[in-house]
Amino acid sequence: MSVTVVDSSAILRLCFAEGDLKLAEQAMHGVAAVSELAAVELPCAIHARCHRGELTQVQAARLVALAQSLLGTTARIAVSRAVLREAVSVAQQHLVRALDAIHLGTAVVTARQQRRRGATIRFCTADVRQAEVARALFGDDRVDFVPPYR
Amino acid sequence: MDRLREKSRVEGRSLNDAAVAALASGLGAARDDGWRSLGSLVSVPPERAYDPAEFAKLRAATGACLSGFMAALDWVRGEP
Repeated sequence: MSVTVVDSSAILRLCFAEGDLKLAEQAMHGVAAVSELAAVELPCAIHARCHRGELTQVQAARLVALAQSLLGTTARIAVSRAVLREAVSVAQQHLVRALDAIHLGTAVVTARQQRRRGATIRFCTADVRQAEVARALFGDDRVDFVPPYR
Repeated sequence: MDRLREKSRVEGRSLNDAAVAALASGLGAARDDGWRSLGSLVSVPPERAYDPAEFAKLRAATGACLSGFMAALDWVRGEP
């Protein structure tokens, strides 16, 4: 069974059931690997809405617990020196934001490790620009893009 | 039994395999479906298997409006 490296955007969509979730669900039924970074990004996104007055503190706390519950079903990948090195390398070749680059660097390191075992990875994201870069890195057929919900 | 058959169909695995996974999940153990192949890359292993039905219940229990989070993530990642 191949490993799918799942970006925080796909985790977030699944967490809050926004749009067509088929591809994200498929990833979670297999071996889902997520950068440790997601454990910061998801609470930050939730708390940001609380600070803007769009959620109460109680709701935000419940939603953070929900996100953590979902992350608890994935294998978290460390933000290692190798991941950071690959993130910079990705940014050298493509126009990406720093946090997107770290997720992609995580996928590159995971792909290399799996290749040594004769296996390949998939990359699942709901971010259209990140998906474009992922396709360039891993090939069209290795990227699962969770489509926009609006 | 119907839920187990549905789970088996959705996950593309045999009924027996789906049953074993459901039992393991019920006992609080994460399925070892291969995450160990990631070796030392893993900083935190999965604590349990993903169960969409159980997760949907948790989601419903939050009682919060569950839309608009993608824009919040974009903001976290540096978009205005």
